[in-house]
Amino acid sequence: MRIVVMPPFDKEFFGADRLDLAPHNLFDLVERLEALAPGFAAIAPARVHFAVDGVLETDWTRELAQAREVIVLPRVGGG
Amino acid sequence: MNAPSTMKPFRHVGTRPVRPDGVDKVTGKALYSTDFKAPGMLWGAILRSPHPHARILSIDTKKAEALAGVKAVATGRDLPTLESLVMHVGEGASDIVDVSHNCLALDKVLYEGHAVAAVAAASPEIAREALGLITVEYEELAFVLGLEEALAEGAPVLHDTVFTKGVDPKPDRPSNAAMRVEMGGGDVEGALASAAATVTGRYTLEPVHQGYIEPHACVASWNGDGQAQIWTSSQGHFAVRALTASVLAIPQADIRVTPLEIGGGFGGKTTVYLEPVAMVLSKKSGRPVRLAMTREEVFRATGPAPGAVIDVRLGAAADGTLVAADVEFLYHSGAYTANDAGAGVSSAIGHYRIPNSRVVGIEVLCNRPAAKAYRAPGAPQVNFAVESAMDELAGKLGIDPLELRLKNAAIEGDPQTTGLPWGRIGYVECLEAAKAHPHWSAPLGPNQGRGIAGGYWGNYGGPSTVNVSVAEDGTVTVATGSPDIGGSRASMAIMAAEVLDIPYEQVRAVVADTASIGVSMVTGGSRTTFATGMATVQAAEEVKRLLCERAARMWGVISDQVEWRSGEVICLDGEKQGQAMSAAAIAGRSFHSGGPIAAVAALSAKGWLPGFGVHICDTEVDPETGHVKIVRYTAVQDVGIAIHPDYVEGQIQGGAAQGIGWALNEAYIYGKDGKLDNAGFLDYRMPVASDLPMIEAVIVEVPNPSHPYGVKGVGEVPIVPPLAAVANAIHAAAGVRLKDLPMAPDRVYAALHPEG
Repeated sequence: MRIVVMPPFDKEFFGADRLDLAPHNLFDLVERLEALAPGFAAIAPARVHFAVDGVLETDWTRELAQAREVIVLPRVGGG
Repeated sequence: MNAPSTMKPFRHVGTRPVRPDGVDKVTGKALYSTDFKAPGMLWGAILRSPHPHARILSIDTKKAEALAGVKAVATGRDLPTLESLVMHVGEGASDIVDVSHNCLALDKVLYEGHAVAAVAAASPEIAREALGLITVEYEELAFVLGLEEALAEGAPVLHDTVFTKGVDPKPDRPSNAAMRVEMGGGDVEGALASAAATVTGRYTLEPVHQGYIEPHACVASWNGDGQAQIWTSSQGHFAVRALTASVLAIPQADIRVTPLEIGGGFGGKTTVYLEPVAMVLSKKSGRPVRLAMTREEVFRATGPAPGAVIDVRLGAAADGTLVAADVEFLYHSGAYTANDAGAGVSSAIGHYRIPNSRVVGIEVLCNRPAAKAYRAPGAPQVNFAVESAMDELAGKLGIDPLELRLKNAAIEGDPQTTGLPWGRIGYVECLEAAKAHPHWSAPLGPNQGRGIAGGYWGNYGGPSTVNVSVAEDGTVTVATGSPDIGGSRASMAIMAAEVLDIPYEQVRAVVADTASIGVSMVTGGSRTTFATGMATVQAAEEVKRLLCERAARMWGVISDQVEWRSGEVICLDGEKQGQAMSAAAIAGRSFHSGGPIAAVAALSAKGWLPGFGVHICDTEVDPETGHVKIVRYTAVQDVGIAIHPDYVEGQIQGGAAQGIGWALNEAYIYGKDGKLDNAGFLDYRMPVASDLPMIEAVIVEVPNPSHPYGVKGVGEVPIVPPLAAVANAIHAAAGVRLKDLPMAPDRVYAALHPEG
């Protein structure tokens, strides 16, 4: 599965903006990203949003078996 | 749960019933933060730094402690030492160590007004006197306020632990550039070089305050058994609980936070400044303690929206098709890292289809109060630059500015700046509504001009908990964990009444404390009507199901043989066929049919969609004084579906008014000594009613298919377009392009009379 890592996380953690991983859900993806870049899991709940096949997904238990792409992007809240 | 593609006519959604909190508020009965008193309460006060940047060498509190009537004194040493932990409980991520040090400085003060010590005493007068008896020995440090100055070689660095995030290779020395975010794609330089028309500009904005009327205030009571209560005005009492517990390193369940009415927040009340300090003072004194900021403290010590320096280049083909955009900006982060750069990047150019783009945002630390969310945080600044440049581009191409926007407007399926496809957005619908509005073609008078600007904000979903319960007489209570800032009690009551098909007056919505309802995220991000509304609908649907099930059991039929119609259960089969049972009849017998009727919905709402707006502004520019008068203003916005149109219009009008103030008058003004010169509403000039015409709000409804009633979120979008709409109107009226905010009379006059 293609993992697209958007700025600033590409340079901040991984040194790459494309990764190839096969997580079974988004919790699993966070664990795998943590293994690549220690510290990522600690900031992920506060700073990261995931989009699965183009749609933002806040349920990290979401099964990814059928997914083609996950985008890791900055979380934006609001005021 | 999805909204039907053809919306059915609603009984309550879209109506304008009397607001449930109205009488209390207009008769002065509503309890705001400084109205609340606890028995035996002490009065607190905070000593603040007179220096913009200094090392704290020592704090001597002995004389203050000895003053008669003083019951407790606290400094940063009274807060526990914490490990770094990035939390997202308010609006954006904050390191809890920064939150703690912002409540009470430990080793360094980072801005004028930074809290260094606190006192609790028997009266406000004694508390203030005691502050004067505290001796703080400082070692003054060089300070920096400006964005480019803070990034210059040799600038004083605020934190030796901050290394720029988002750059490669990772820096080996600390910097005031906290974060760099870059998005985009394509060949920007090539496209600009071959464009038929290009525009280039540098735009600047100063930090501005949210300007809420009610200053921050709270009462905290921390008992000897470890149980504590806080009464406070905030945008999220669960965020207050989580942050306060984390700063004090105590369990969240030991703190019960009761939300009081809120006199405005606009993003600025999504963190804690006072609550942990009041807790420490309460623990030390054994008494409840009130802390309340003065207006001056609000300006000096709470978060403004960041100022900015923004460079923009746009290019278009001769027919007006945008071919490239290059945007790079610096945003003030203030004393601690903030989160506005990412939001600014994703809010810059996504409302247009631009095949080649580069958007770069950099957050810059400086010796000002830490920036905090303000209505669409990070969007208005960059939108001012982009929408001003769009106007300039329209002029160069000889194309009507509205038509240029229509030609390039993003639609469903187009990529956002992040690359994600837009969902069912309504920018084109807003532009078409603006074009058709009489304002767009109305005649103008002497020295008058008309400007237009479009913009958007992503909105949000997030966690909400709602409890819907039916009393024995059939009336319904909706308890939420979302503070009511913009009318959520009314909108929740409307949605519950819609589901249950009962009169609106039969439903009462309340905001429950942290011990009485499950967790809800702050009221912010334009999320509450969407997310808490979704939970309300879900809980009300479950209540309806329970009522049907109970009626079926009482009739001795199966659930499939009953139906909910017009607020009552109808029996469809058997001996009771045709009979009806009201909610009151069912609830009145609920104790003997399985127990009370109630349902909780706790969810993390997804499927939110952004809102888009288009504002039309007419200005009249006085050539002799440079004064700008807003003559007419129309704000068009896609809201999904308006649950209570009065509140929707109020949000649109309020956002537009704040944006006009940002455009024309508001700015933090610092002296050369690094101290704020205009820390009050006399010198910090927000618009008042006499400054503004009636702002006409035009509601466009493009339903959100992911919400049961089509809601999108409203509150933040309307502050995005006004800055450029006003600037474009001034350009149309007077022929001068102002790129520095605020466009106060002196600046306008100088632009009109460049000879001096």
